[in-house]
Amino acid sequence: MSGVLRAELVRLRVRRFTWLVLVVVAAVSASVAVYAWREARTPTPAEVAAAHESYQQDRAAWLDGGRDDCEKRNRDMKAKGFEPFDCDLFAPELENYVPYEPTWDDDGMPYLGSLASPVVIGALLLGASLVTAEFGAGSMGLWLTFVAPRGRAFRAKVAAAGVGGALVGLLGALVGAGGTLAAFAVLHRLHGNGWAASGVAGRLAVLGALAAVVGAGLGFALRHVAAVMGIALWWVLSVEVVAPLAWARARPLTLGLNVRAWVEGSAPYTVPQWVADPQLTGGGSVQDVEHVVRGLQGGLVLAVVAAVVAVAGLVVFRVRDVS
Amino acid sequence: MDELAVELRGLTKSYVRFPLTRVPVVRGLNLDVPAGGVHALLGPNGSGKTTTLRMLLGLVRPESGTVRVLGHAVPGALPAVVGRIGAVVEQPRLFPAFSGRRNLELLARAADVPAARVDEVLDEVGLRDRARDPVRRYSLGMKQRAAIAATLLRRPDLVVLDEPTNGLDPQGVHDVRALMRRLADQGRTVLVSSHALGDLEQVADTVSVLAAGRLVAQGRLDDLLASRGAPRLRVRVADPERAALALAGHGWSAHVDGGAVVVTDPPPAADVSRVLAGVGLYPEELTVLRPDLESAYLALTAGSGPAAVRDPAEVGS
Repeated sequence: MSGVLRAELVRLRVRRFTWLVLVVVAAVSASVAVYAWREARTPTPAEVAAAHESYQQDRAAWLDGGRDDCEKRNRDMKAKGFEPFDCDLFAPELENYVPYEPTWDDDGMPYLGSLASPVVIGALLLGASLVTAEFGAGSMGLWLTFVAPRGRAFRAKVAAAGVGGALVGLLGALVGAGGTLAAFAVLHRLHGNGWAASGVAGRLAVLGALAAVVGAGLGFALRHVAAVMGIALWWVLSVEVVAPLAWARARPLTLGLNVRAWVEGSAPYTVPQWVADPQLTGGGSVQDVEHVVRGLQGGLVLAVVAAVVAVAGLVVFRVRDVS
Repeated sequence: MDELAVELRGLTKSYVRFPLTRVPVVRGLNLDVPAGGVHALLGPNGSGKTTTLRMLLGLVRPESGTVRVLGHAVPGALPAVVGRIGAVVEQPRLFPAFSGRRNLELLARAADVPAARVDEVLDEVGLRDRARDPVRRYSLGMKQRAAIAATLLRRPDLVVLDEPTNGLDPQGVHDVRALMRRLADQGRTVLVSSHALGDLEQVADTVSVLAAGRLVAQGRLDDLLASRGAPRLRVRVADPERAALALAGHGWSAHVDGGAVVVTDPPPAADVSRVLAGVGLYPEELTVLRPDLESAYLALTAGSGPAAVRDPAEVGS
């Protein structure tokens, strides 16, 4: 490891903003774990008994005229030309009364996807501020009288930002995924592959590193953290929200979808498409057809975006004067 | 001037100001800084001094012209030479949230300088007692000291200081002056830009004067001062009219000015004193008036708008 990178890592470690980001990400991730803990709670015997009692009451009412009322209403509707419906669907079933018992695979894992947002935002800010703080304080000029060429200084700062971002991702995973996993394990609801959480943790670390590299690249290009956040906000509003509405096929290119795909393994999305009906010659209809962005595809898109932004930052840094 | 620490040729730089107007800051600048000694870079505000220093450090890209520092073309060969340069340009810009020591340690680490060197430079600038305080709590003078300490970390061959005595108390000014002299005596080159002409006059060996982005004078300080005229002698006596007549009687050019006799191109003061004593006049004051850097600077930069600036080719070195 070069002396420049070591110096940047020390600077990263002693910056208060680094610790602030870590604390905020840990707090948000902890709130995810707390929510998961609540959802994984075992129903109490009293709740189960109350559920059984409610079921018995509704069952009795259903047998005592409820079904007949339903059938009568069905006949009336049929007389008016409406399609009759199946009254059995309205019959009380015990499984609809007993409190749901969540499982890790179906209910725990999806929580981990919600950790991506705090990790991305925290890592982006961390990377951007690591660079822009130097431009703001004017210390970049002094730094460059010690480190040349500029590409060397750039690489060290981006690498340090990446390390910081990875730590943000790992912390989010440790607190959020660890807490969620613990909730399901302690409350005896860990039915499924708990080791999948470690994969999510690794992907969150990579996600944090990529987001921090994007932040650092934007920091080099724009030199102000407010400008970086402005660009990020513009991107979210125009590209992530508006563009898919105007052009549905742009959806797989949105970063939000690719982040989800990377963290959760895959992310489905729908695109309205003309679907031909084989029973009608030349006929068909427009339907929402589901597609899926795979995890690796999402990771590649994110890596390409990070690389493009980093190169743009390097070009601007090499060309622009430094005060 | 055999060897040059800095050699600038045809350097040009302009900035774009609102609304999209190009403002030339440095115009075809040719500048030589001899290796070894203290070289003062003088000029009014806006004359292009700081931009010039930034260009030779590779922080600002010139539009045209060449920069050679310690024999290497900059910015292309900057990596080869950056380890031999220590620089503080404009204001000391350290990381404000970190202590002075932490700042120096980071820079030392980046430059692969042993950590023990940090204590040495802190001692050298007299900042060891406050080394653990955050830089944002430093006075401007302390920031200057810390920044100068940073420049010394690598024992540089070329030290570039931009207004190094800004904000320093008299003791600090004295210390920086002594430091510059000490570095020069060690064979290093100190390129210093400052408006403290009195301080520079005491320490500079050579000088360059910029005005409106161009070089208007360059050379040894002694030569520059000598070119502004010979020394004069001011004599205060009880009867200046009679004293002027007595001195003129010996073929010396003397006239009364402001209640004193001023002798131009004067003989030794002892001879003047002897002549006056011969006519019963005893000097109350004998002062040699030499052209100083301030007067030379003011004369060179007077009305330093573009029209008043001579072509650099006319300026001898």
